[in-house]
Amino acid sequence: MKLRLRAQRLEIQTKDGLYGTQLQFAPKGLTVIRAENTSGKSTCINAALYALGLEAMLGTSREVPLPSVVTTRLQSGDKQLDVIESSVLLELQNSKGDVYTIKRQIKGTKDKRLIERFDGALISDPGRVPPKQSDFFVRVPGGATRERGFHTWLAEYMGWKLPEVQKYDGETSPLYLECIFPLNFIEQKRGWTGIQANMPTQYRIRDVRQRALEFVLNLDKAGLERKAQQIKDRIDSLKVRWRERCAEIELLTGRINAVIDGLSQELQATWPPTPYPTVRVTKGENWIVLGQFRKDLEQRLKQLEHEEIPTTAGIAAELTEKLKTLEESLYNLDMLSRTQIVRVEELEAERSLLHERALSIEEDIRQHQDAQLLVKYKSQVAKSIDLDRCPVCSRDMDGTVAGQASSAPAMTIEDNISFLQEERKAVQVMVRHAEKNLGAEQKRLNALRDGTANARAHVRAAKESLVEDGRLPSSAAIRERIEVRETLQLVAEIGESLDVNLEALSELATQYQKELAEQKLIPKGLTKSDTDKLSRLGELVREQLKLYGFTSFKPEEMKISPDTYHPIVSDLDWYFEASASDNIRAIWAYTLGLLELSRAHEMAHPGFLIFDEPRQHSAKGDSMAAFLKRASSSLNFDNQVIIATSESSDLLKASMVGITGHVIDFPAPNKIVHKL
Amino acid sequence: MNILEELGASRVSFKRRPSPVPGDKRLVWRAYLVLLFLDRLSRAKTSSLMKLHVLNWAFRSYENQSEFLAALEQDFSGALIVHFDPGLPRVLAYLTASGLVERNSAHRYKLTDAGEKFVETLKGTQALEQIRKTMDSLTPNRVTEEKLGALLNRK
Repeated sequence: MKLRLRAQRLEIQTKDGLYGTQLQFAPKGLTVIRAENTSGKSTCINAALYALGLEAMLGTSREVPLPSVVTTRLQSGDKQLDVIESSVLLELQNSKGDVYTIKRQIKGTKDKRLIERFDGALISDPGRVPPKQSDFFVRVPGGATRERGFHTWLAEYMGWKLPEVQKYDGETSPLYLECIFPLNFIEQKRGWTGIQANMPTQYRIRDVRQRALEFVLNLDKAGLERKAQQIKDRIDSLKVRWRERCAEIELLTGRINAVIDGLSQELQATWPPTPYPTVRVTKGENWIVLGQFRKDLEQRLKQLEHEEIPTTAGIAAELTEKLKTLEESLYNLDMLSRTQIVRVEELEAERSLLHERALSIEEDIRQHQDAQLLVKYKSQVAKSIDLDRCPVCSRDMDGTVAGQASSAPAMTIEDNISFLQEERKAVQVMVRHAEKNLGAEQKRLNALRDGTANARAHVRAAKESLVEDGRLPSSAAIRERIEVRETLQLVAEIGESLDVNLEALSELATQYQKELAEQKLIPKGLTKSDTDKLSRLGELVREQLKLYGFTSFKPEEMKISPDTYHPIVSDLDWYFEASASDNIRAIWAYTLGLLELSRAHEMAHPGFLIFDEPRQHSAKGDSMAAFLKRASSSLNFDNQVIIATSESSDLLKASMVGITGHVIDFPAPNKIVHKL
Repeated sequence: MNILEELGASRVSFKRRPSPVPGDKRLVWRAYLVLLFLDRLSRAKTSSLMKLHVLNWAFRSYENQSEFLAALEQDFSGALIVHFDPGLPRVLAYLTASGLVERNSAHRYKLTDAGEKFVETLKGTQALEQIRKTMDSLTPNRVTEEKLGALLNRK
């Protein structure tokens, strides 16, 4: 027993005074509320739902989903009385014995989203004043997660921890209480149209019925699936971090116009990759490995540091010679840059052509998919219209506008789509390849441009040196020293940052490997304990169906589906095949079966059931008696079953023979809602 | 020695394989397109061949579509180069023979009642969704015969 409904009170203020009703439910076992039709039974049941903030089960409307007797006008004898103000109170108790009374206004000036909670039994023991009061809210964002949300409190009060579930849009949300309680409140209008028929759909929770049942049945599968989802989320975050690292590496290498090879942009589980990622720097026409580049620089620096800075006069001849070489290399670099520009332009053109091709394939695929749909719709409306044959001469048209002009027959639309999808795959690979090439060639162009600028500066420095005072140290020589030192420093910094990033990638790969291993360990589907629970539920359902006189199928044929957890008959949805009264019997058997199952298993069942008018479609009197008898067994298990019915007093008495239960009878012309 | 023998082939057989067709050449796709022109972009569900040619060109690809829409918005200064597709008369002949479209005394094409019912089945489906959205953003008044004629003759 997670939640017990102790008492309910309806208060309707009119100018003729206070109207309403007060119902005291049996603390455990069966309570039957009997009254004539239109005397307010459903009003009470629905008001209880409303008090608990569960009115989403009654429809999507923002209006209070309760009849006029509590919202506008009530009929008392031949008097019509306007409703001035009305509220519903519900006295609750949880398994720890904590008693609270909740109150929600139906008509009046208060915010309809407000639920007031009072400590203690305000209905059964109204003498205690003033009770401590706290305010909660329903039907506001966060109503099931925020501290002031009524459902946050209610879930905690029942000892429930609501699971996070997937929505259709890929987001997650808590499994709202409104999605769980259709298993406990079988409301009159929609409740008897199927199992979990009062399920609100506006929350857009994926497979919401299964999720609710997994929660109530406390199946391991749900927990395992959540765990699998958590692993997937963690892997997704690893993927993002991997890509961030790659982007950083790209940025770093870009600073010295280098490229990195052998590094996957996508998360990898194996590290180090073979061959290990190498960074290459362009040097004139060639690419050299970063390590070598650094070594060369170090060597050159060492060499320079050993030498004394020469005076201009001392190296005049050498400088002249060097100037010549420099000018030559400047010329070469300039030429190389020009060819490189053409190369980059070619690659850019190639890439944009491939892009165009990719787009046109996309469009072609869409047109074909449309064509596929259109053929389907066409066949639904006009079978006589044939697309393959000319309507006049019956010549084969091949389903194309081109007719027979083309030499080969046209592919079918389906084949054409898969053909295009294959082509799309190929083009995508080519686009990726082209982009990678282009990136590398662009860097090379940048390097050549930097090199040209550098060479130009060298030429200028050499020229300046030659006209300087011969006794001064050569500015060209000084320049080279500064430059080599600076480049070396930059390369060292980049090298270090690269190492840090590669180290981080290695860490990510290790984590990924761990997650993958963990993912493998999670068993798929139902565990042994899950199947045990479901097969026991099946037994309970079959047992009851026999008792209730279910005839549409052999009750033995019915079992619980491992996918939907609903009763099935040899994998069929039996619901449409069975008679209307047998559908009602199946709903009795299933909902009661869940309650009974919760007695022997650890489950999240609230421990109570409320049926409004279970005698739908005139299920036979004797099967109703069997149902009442079965439901009354809840007395021995601290469960509560509340039934509202308009069965005649005599018949009910006959049905209740030998059954222990609390009957609240409102014999005609008494109504449930009356003057208090 | 024969080249085939050289290649080690004792027998060579040829098989006709079906070849892919561009999506806009699929009869069903184009037939619905033309029906939509008459249904949504024509006054009294009737259009001249010239107008159908322009619309046919405009809706055959996204590229054409954006060019066409830009021209309607008047920010297109060059001449509109409309490709007259020989497939269109074929589609019209097919639709006429199927009884979905008829040619009236002024040699204009009109959607028949059957055609109207036929095209109505697209309501609420995903087929040609994007194209229908574009069409809905236009109205028959914005693509009158005169206007399309003017677009074609603009210097």
